[in-house]
Amino acid sequence: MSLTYLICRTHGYASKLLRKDFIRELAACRSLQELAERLSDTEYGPKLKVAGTVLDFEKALAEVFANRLSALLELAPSRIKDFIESYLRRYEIQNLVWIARMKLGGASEGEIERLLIPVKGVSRLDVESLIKAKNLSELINAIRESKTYQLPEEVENIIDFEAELWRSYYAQIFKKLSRIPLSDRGDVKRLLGLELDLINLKTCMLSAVGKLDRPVAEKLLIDNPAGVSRRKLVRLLSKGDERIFLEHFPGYRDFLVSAVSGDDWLLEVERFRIVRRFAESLRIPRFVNFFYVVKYLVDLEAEYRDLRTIAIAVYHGVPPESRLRLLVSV
Amino acid sequence: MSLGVRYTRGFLLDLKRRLSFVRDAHELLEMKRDQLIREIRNAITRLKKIRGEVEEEVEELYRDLALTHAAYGSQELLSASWIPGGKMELEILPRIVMGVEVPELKIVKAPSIGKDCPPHIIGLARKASNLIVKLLELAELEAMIERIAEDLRMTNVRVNALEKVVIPTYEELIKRIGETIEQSQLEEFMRVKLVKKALARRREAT
Repeated sequence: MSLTYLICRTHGYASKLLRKDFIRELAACRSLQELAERLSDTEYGPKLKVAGTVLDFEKALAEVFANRLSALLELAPSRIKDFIESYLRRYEIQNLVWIARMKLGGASEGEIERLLIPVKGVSRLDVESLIKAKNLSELINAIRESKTYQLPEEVENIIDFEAELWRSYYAQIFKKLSRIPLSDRGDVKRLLGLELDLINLKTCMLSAVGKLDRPVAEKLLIDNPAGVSRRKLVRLLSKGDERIFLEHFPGYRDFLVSAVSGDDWLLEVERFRIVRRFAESLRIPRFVNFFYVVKYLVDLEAEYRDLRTIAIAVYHGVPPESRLRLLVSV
Repeated sequence: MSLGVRYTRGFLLDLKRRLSFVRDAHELLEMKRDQLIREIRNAITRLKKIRGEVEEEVEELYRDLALTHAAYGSQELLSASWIPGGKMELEILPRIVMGVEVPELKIVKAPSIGKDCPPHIIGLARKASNLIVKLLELAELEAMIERIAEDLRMTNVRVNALEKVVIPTYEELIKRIGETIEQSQLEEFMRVKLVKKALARRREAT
């Protein structure tokens, strides 16, 4: 398969994504049944038909999401596939973090399995055998031995474990940029840099408002070759004042303010919103451009997140006007 | 009410002593009732205040939980809920309020929101943890009010029984015995007088 074919197919796939207006309409649904009915004509329809609870709903949405990722991956030529696989490994990391937390609490294999995003296609690790690990240290050792992620010897707790996985992920993905066409590297690098900046700023803000100890926060910061340096963030963090970040990063004001106001949920929404806005704002010169694939991946995740958010918000009876604040793509 | 009534002066004196004791008891029970009412009123005021605060906090916590759940998804929240935070240990100590035993809760060990808790969920976990302390305070107050109310009901029954049955019965009995004794004294007096008269007449005749 050629890169041009992949990009053309991606344009096709992108046209199948749900429209903003439709997502806004979905946000006004009164029940999960109504939501399932509204989505019955889409790709989600058959899976949602059998979904009874909100967890079933989320599982169905995750399955469609994972199938779409696998379909894209199958079309990619080997060099590009290598990059996309690395990019999609973020969902594997999510799964690993969830497994680790549940292992720490002594959850059963079935309970763990039920929660995971079914991303077998992009996973390099044998997740099924990891679930069987007797405890957290066995899990960490198994991941370390697989050499998929570089984990240092002293991983003290789950937060460290999560940070090390992400550190390893971003180190790998920046290396894999060499696999994509030269003309797109700059944009993709900027996107990844922005993403990493927001992750680091989130850590800084949570520390500045007292939800994370400063030494821990400093340890969690990840080196960003395409954004704000770790050293600068450590320096700002040492001032111990959240307003410093507002002064230094006025472009991310909404994102930073949500941490100050204690709306930690908004932090996640804003983070993804900024990334998506950036991907949308880029002027892509040609129709056949690899950045469209990356943009599609961002949009795909946005749609998955939005539908999941709507389902949970409907389940909790969140007022419709508040639901819109939770959506990434609207 | 069976008291084994005997129409004697000794029994009358005993009854009067008993009535005085019952009146003292009535007075004490009334004082206890008033104090219990004061305690219950204070407890209800505190309960209303704490309940209001708890309702507000529960509402806020549920709102935050719903929004966090919606923003991060079930996986994030459910997996975080598995992170052990330690168990809460409580001690229930008895406390005496006007002779009523009420429970007092003492938190021996509070669950810790440890270093494993994801930072974006710490705020929510802290709110829930603080709420548990308030809920315990609420439970303690509710149990106290329930026990005091039960004792107040019993005290009220006793006060009413003394006021409406026991004291009037004693008074009535004292009155009746007093009258009977008085009457028998009068009869005795008359009898003595008649006997004296008869004896005087017999003496004159001889």
